[in-house]
Amino acid sequence: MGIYEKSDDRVKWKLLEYVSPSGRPAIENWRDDFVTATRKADLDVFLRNMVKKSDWVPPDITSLKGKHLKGFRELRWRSDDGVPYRIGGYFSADDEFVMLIGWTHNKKKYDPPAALDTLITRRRNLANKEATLREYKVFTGH
Amino acid sequence: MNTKSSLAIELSNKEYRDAFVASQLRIGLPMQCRALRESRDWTQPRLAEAAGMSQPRISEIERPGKRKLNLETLLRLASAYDVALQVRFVPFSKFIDDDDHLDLDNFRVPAFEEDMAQLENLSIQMQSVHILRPSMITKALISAEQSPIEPEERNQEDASPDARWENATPGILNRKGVVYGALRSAIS
Repeated sequence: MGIYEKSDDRVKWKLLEYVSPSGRPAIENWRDDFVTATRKADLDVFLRNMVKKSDWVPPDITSLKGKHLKGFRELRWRSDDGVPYRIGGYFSADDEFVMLIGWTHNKKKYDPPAALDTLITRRRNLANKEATLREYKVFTGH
Repeated sequence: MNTKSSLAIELSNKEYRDAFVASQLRIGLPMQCRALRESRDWTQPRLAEAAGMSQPRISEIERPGKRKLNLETLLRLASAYDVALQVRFVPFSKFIDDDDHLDLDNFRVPAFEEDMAQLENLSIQMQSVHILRPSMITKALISAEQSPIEPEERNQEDASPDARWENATPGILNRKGVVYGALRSAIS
């Protein structure tokens, strides 16, 4: 089985993920920490669909509101437990999205609690070249 | 997903593959529902009216993971769009392949009326399939074998073995006109 690549006509987006100064990939690690296979599968299925959609529109993605969150977006879905899952990031090109951090929030309780602050910090780290990006691979069945 | 864990590796885990199927219904299907509505240029209120549901319910149906979609709901949506709903058990290889090839940007399912022309074409193709029925082919071949040999075919049969080899067509197959005519009469 391969990965979705931009050379494939069906694939409209390239996903990038934040890699910390110590080399930890943000979304991969977040996914690895999911306690159930269901949550992993939900994330995988959501992103498999998203990379094939030209137009990213609500409710799959929305702008984050707040003075310091201008330009940030969140990818949105709910897992089987009804809890909202989010990936925060920004568009780095017309067909590229940078994923900085994943979180859940249940009745305004964020996990991790400082997710939105981390979002800002990580973008700053990238601007300062203290952190890097790498492609997030979405696998196909081929 | 990371570079270490391809989809194949993930699917080798029973818990994951069960979850993957469920996720397609919970996460993938709402996205498909929305793509179908957008392909028709329908608003949520219009779909709600056609399906006999409330607009907020349609909104929830189209949100990945927001609502559990049961067969009854899907049947109502299918009826509203006047399309068929296919639910069947398939091997994982087909399941993944179908999902890989699902193009949400061009996800268009014609309604029955628009689909009629295609149904008619299918009917014509089904008739054509009769031509390939073995019994008819056998009958046509026997008919061709028993029919008188035409002069030009006789010339070939009289030719040297080398010349016949160059033509590389056994007599019965060379007589395709005869076979074709027999097939036509068999299906008419």
